[in-house]
Amino acid sequence: MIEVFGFFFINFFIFSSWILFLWAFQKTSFRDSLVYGGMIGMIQIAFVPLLYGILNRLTFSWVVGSHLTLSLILVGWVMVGRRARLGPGLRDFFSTLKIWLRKVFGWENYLLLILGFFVWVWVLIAAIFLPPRGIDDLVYHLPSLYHFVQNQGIELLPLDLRRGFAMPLNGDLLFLWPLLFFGNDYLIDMVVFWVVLYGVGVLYSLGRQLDIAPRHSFFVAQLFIFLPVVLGQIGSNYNDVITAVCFLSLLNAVFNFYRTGEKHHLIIAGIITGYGLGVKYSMFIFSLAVQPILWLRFWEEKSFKRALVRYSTYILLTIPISLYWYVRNYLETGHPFYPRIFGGGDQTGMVSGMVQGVAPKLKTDFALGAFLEDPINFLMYPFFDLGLGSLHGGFGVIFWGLGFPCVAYFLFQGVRKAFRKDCFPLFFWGQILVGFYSVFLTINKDFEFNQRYVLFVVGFGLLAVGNLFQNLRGNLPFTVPILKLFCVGSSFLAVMHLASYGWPSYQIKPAVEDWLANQQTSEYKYYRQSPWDLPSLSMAWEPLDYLTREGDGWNVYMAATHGVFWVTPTYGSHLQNKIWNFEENPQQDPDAYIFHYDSRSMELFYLGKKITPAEVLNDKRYELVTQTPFTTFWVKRQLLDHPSMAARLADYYEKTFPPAIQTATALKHLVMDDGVIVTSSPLGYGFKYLFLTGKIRSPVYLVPRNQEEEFVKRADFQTVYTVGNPLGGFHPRDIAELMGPQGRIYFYENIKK
Amino acid sequence: MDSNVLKKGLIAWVTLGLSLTYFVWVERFDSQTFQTVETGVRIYGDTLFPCFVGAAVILGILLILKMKWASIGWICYISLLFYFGFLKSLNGGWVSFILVVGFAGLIYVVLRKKNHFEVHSSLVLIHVMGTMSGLYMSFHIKDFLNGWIPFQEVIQGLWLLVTQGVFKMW
Repeated sequence: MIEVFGFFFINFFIFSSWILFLWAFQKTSFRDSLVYGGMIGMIQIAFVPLLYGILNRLTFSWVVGSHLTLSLILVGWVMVGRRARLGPGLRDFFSTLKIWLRKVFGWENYLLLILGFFVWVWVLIAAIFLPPRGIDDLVYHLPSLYHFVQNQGIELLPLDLRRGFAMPLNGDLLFLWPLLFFGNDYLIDMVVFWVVLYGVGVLYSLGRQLDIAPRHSFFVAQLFIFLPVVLGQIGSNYNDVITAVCFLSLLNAVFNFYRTGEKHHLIIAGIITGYGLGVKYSMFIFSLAVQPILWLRFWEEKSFKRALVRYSTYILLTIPISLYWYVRNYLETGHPFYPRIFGGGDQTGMVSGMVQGVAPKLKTDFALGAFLEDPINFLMYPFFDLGLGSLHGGFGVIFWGLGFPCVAYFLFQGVRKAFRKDCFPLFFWGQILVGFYSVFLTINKDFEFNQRYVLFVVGFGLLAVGNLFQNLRGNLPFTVPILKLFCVGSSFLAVMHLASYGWPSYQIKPAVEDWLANQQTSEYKYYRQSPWDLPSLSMAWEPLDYLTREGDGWNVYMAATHGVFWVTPTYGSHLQNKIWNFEENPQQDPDAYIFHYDSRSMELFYLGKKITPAEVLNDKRYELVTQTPFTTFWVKRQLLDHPSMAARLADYYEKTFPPAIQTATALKHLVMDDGVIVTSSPLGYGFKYLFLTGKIRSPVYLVPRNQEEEFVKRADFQTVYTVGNPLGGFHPRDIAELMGPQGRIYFYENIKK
Repeated sequence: MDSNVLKKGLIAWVTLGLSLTYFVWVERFDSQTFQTVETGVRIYGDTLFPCFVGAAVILGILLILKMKWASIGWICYISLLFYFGFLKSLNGGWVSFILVVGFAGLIYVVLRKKNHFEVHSSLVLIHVMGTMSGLYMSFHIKDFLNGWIPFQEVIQGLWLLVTQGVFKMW
């Protein structure tokens, strides 16, 4: 608990020191200081570990020490350098806050705040009780971070496994912060939630810049939390929300610069652009979209020299924060934008579309091509809301029903104003076209997974709704509460809908019940709530994590079908294990093996040295711990022989397989002490438990499916007990009849001929 | 032509076209077909989409030829067809009729009291929003409602934590 308070305190210190500094340094308004301070604080949290990672000094003490030192310097400077401003400023702040609260709070904002608080509690409980479970978290977002923390430096993981390892990681480094601080993965699923809250602040600020009343601004800004795709990602480690919020924050700074011409807004815009370019490659396109607003301001200032100096400053500021990733990729792969500039494989995406040339592809691969071929497909967008019910998409009814027509309306007005030489509204609302244009360039087959790439467009939708509220206030004031009621109702429906998501699951009840009943093993057990191959793999990850939580962890070898070769949970919830395959010259044999076949393919992908499941089966040093039809988990017998480990394994079996233990207990009187039990049946877990707890003396060997005979051939057993598989070369005798899920099965006593 | 007129005309086309289309669609197909996304869109593309375009063109021409902006109010009334269809798809029964009559009364009051361009323009935009929201919810209301049982489980989980988890931690 002290750790959690410490973490909260340091974060508060980081953000408040920047907010205070920006407020005192440039006499920035409190609202802007809050928005800029939030962003710069986030950049600090990402950039400090990046620096230490490059220097191979990525440790808790260096990072925390640097954060505290930097914040102390900022606060110290304010205390010494701006002391005179501090007292009156704080008094002003509190009186302004009082007025602001009066202006902002109405019934609708109270309702959304209550709903938001509920979501916070839910996501927090889910983060603690459930594992990181967004699919790309497991594929490529988290393995690099886990590896950085373990090795105290930044290294590129093998690209043979995932080209995504070479993606820029400025956004992902935010997840590294709680990982490094706590040394476990419990709170990394809360990071996006805080980014979303920050996004609410950014949208509020943008709303105020558009002259939307505080109450309406706060309302539409809060709606950002309750958009289905945002809710879907709120407890994941995807960086789409980070990208979107980063872009909106950039737009906020650029908007401020356009309005005031003050250079500190431009400096902040440059820093945010730089950070964003290191979050996702798509930020190149998005940041290009805001350039016309900057140029518009320079154009209006009518001084070429001044514009050149200012714009050069902006461009120079964008470079340092993201440069590392591009230089690294260039040095390691020969291509700074790796893997986004090649065709085929998993390299879908808008940049690939641009580089390859869109025109020849229109009628084949790209979403826009499919849409142009059959305009009816355009209906897919607003009404089907692709990806709804997952973290891949789903902008929700507030966007497609209210925001989208409103943006179209204000965009149309923007075009009209542009003819009257007022280009700003067009450039502002026109950003949404860039968003849609870029998503249309994605590969058609992946379209349903790609709405999240342009998540920022929902921000424009919400701002447009706020703008409409402002307009309606004069004309049809009674419609505003009706529309707000609709938005609150839709938000509640979206929150309710979140409970049924599979990508990722937010269902907390089974985990809470297990915890209350002391049946909890590892949170990796709850991968069984997830789709695809995660339930099967959880049968390996759960015992691995549970067995290794105490001690130095194990070196684990993995081989799996390429598409489902996910390593993140193999590290363990406390990052206690290492991936044997990632080591260049491993000196020792692996401590454990995980083999996993995709249900559609029986081909394994080997990374590093090839060790097949058959070799492990023949290696008497290893023992099968758990298995499913697709997954097997083997551990070195020597490790399991240790009394504390044996007790832990028995505890795992007891908590996980009570029915098998119950059945095995009923059969144990049939088992002679001089016999052995060899089985691939789940009943084996029950016998194994009885053996580990000393309730039977016959050794128990778990083997892969239908491998009993193969296993027994290599040993010299006289009496072997099997479940459902009588042995050749023995005299089998059914000594008990059992009812299994697939019907009747027999318990055999096999005596050697 | 006055650009305001053009703008309002465009909005009116969209509103009315979608409203009529939706109404015919809901009337013609049962909710099972309607909820099947691929089938629904194919049917829409083959049959109703051309009707929508045709209706929008004819109405657009009529609007341009006889542009009296009080007629926008009548478009709002016609858009009530949409709400009726939407409520009907939710099995609203007689409640649908009462609500639609209520909406009609509301529009009447608004148009009588504030009979000028801004009001009409905003009202039409609200109708577009209503249409889009209604169509969206027609596709997805089941998805959202499917979350009800899992959501109850989440609440139960939280309740267990509050009532028993606190004691366990102590």
